[in-house]
Amino acid sequence: MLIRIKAFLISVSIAMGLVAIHTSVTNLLWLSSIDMPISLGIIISTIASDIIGMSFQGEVPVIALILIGLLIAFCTAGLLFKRTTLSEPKLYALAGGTALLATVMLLSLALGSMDLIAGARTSLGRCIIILAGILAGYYFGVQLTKVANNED
Amino acid sequence: MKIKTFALVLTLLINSGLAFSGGHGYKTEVVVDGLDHPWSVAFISDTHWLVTELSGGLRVVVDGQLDPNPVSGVPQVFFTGQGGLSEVRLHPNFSDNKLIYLSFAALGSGEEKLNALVVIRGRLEGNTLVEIETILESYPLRKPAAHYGGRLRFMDDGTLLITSGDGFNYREKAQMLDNHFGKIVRVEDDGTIPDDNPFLNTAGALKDIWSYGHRNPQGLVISDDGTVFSHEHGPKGGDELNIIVPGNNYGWPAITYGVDYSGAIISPFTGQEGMEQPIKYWVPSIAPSSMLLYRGDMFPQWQGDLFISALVPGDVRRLEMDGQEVENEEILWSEFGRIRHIAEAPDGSLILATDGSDGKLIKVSALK
Repeated sequence: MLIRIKAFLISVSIAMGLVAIHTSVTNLLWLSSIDMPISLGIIISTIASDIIGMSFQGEVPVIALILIGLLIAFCTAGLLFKRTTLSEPKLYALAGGTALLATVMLLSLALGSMDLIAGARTSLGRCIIILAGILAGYYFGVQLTKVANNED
Repeated sequence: MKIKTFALVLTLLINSGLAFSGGHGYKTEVVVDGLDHPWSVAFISDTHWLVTELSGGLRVVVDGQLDPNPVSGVPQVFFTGQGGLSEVRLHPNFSDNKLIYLSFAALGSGEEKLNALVVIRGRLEGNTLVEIETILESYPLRKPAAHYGGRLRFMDDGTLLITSGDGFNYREKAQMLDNHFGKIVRVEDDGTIPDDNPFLNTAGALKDIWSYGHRNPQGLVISDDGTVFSHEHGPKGGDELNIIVPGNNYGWPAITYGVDYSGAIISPFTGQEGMEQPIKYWVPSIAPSSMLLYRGDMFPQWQGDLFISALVPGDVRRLEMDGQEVENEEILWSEFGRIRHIAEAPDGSLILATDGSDGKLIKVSALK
């Protein structure tokens, strides 16, 4: 169980980290496009600040939303696992992507179409966030497979 | 016994809605209540006021009594989120032409899922608004019901300044001149474009833009020497008070003292050549909702001060000005909750509009 919890928390961290990096890069690319002086130091400090800021300093901590979303999605995937032919990595990847899509969509609905996560304002941005969920879910599925193999 | 009497008097005072300010020389009293999200107050005379409600009502107060019948003829507004009926302002020659101006959110024509900031004018005939003309419909339409700006002020030359917010999701467009997001707009009183606007000859620019790079400006005053002050909501921190010069770029979102509500950095920069600095900013945010330059005789000690109503945590900021610089800030009237609007009545008293579904108008007047 502890291994599963650890794998889940790491998958949340992967999703959070990727969403934060995506947000940083989106903002910095736009700033660069209007000739603001973006240096390597600014890129690194912005990404570091966004990972911490979005996790713990927002009006609504994004990491909590991702955690809840992935928890619901992974529990649902766990219940469905025996009824599907998908492998665990693929199933949890699907669940992870769905969770993050649902998170940004529900957040936008709850806030009257305002997108709290700036990186989710475009279709491309939402696709990248879904990809972050897919990667987080895939990691979790791989870890579960390893646990299952060890138990066998 | 004396303590009991004192407590009784105090209780009666509080319950009557009347309160006195110790050594400050003013008293506050609730003059109107039961308003649905009051947003703006305009004074036709000492005793005849107009009040907008975000939900769409243009209400009339006569001799301190709220007319139960709203003004008819007001266009349908898009009342959701931050959208609804916003500012009411009288034409400078209202006594002759009876024209009033309203700003509000409205659904886009043919686009039911999109909306816009709209400014109209109409003639007030009794309790009815007639001969309505559209002065501005912000371009392009937006999806979120947020960040409309919506304040209106007439300049000495008769032109009208309109604040237009960035629509929340479109902040980068505040740096572009082909749209109304994050702009202060200047039009003639009939909505036509003045022939001395700063971007008349800029290719691709909307001709009514007067300044750009704003977030959600909801405070606008013009001093006797023509200086235009505007404040705008920042994100999480970074509310700003600016002096607006036509053609200038106020930086949002390329420079800011705030961070995103998500906790992410919007921009690591607070300054950049070609972008104006605020004369004051607030971190954390106070959510400045309206501004007044006090000119009245009732409080001579406050003449020339800027008063800014604030939604968070809910108070009024009195800024002592030395020309174009802020010398001192005093927090007043923090006991009423979120303050949506502050206005100066013709007699020099101050009227505060509290935010919410049971909004009140609170009068601040001098102790005699």
